[in-house]
Amino acid sequence: MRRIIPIALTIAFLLLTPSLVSAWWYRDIEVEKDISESLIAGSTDSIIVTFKNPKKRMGSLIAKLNVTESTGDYSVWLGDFEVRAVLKSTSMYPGNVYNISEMTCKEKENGTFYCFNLTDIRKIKCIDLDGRKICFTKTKASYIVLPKSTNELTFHITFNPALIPSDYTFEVGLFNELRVPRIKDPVENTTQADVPTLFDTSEVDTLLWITTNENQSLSVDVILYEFVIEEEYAPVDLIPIKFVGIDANNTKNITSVDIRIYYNETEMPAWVDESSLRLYHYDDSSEDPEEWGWKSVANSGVNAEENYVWATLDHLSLFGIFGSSSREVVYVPGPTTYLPGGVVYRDATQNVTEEEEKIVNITVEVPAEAVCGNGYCESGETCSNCPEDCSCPVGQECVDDVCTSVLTTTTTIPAPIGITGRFVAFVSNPLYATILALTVIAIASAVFRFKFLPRMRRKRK
Amino acid sequence: MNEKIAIATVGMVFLLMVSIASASMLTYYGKAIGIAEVSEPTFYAYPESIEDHRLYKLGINEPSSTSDEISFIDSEFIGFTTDSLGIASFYPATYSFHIKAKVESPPRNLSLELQIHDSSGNLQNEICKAKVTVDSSEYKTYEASCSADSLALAESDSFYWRVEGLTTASVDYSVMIDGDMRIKVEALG
Repeated sequence: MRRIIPIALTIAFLLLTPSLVSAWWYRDIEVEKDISESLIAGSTDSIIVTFKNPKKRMGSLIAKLNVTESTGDYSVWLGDFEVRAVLKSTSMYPGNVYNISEMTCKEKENGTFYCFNLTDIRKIKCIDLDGRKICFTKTKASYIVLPKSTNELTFHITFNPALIPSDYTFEVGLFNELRVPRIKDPVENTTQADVPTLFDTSEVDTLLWITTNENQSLSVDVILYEFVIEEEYAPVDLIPIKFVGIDANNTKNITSVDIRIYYNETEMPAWVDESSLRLYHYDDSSEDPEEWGWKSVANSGVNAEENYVWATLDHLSLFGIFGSSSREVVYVPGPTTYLPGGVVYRDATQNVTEEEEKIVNITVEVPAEAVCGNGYCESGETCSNCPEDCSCPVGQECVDDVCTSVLTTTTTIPAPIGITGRFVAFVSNPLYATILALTVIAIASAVFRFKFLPRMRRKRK
Repeated sequence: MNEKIAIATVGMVFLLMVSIASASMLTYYGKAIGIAEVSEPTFYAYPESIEDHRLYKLGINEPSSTSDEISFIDSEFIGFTTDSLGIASFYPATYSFHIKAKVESPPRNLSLELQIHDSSGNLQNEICKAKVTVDSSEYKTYEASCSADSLALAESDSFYWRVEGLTTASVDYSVMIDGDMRIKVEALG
């Protein structure tokens, strides 16, 4: 029993600490006005959420609105809803000054909107220059929540007139991070000199094989970002899929890192060519912030069968998977209309009189044109026809347009879900959490009732 | 000593409960969920003319608060148009026309047709049409409906309601544009 108590206290502390640090900033979050129960397509309705900022400093706010069709019979399409958001932040200090911020709402995926109001406030990099610490500011942040304030966040949602009649669910989430981390979980392991050592960070969809030039104990922190708002830094013509930030407690002896980042095909827009997925790193090594941006990783490729992007790295930083579009939209005369994710053809036999018949500009999809040598492995390019952009990594060779391993040894790949990830997912489920809590209470009560209480009574006697 | 262990046990249970309850909030500050039942739109005719005396506004979901009488003869037609709808497709639906009309020498037929027009006002597609027989020289409300399969539109396209006399002789029709003149959409299937 004496051994169990410290372990249980440690588990509780580990679970409690990040919750206290990260979750309890904004308080008294309430829905002032919910979406109306009955609505007509083409109309506009609102959701109002109120909350307080108890801190004496400005707070950042990113609001997420997720709309899904409740019955499962239909899908929500891009453009089914238009969303804008307004935050009224009123100071609780005497005078009650207030600030109204119009937030931009971007539809990242079908029915998923992120609303923010970016301003140039946040510092991103500090360098040591002649003994002086100089910090650059470049990253934008959505700092719109006044210190010590009450806040009213209003979503104005316009329903597309062509929205299919059904029940729709609206879910609002509030964040304060520019990037939204899914799970944050350091992984520890000890490397042997010059031997790739697996760091299983599969709970964040990532596997790392780290090679060091001497035996070393390492703690690796991998953060998977659900969404990165810094779209202005995305490489031209490439579509962001997902991002991971990787850091280690000691990078001095690391000579190379083989990385696999797993993806789900549902994470990609339908028009992204899966074979074009590659890894990019966020290069902020220059002293000039204007030169920071996403750069392609030289040895990078995709395994479309097992759904992961691989790369060989020489450093750790923020990485992103980007892909190119499998088709682009051009204007041509003809009876075809491009829709996100599909093509709808007009009825060519429709009755149009001769004098009204004319050539009109209608969109149609065509294969995107790849440019070999531009540094991006685009749709249509392979390691065969464009090795400049789609090179194979060390240890692999190009066979029939595909990078194939030349090694004869095989490695068993663990499934991209770890014990920690399963545990966090388990305790994060309210049902399981309740069952677990009740079980713990029952065990503790039983121990107290049958073991300690009789002893205490005997002692009193 | 045993009392200390008991207190520690209770404390442990409390901490575990609090931590488990808050673990699910790691990424969210708050979450709110609401459900809305969305129904089909209704397009209402407005008496305000656009460009010329034969083209009028067709609004979405908001009935007109004003009314006016419009007259035309068989060689003419009147039209009502929405703004650009900003949609790429429309589901299969039945379109129910409601119109208040009279004719000087009943009975006469009126054609009611829903069309897709581009941003320049040019016909892109005929959605469907129906016919009503105006059987009175006094105002009466007439209803007719037609159905159409799914539609493909450009985002700048608009819906256009064309009302036209079907008699060859020169006959005066009058239509009362008020909050009741509308096209109700009902999804098929």
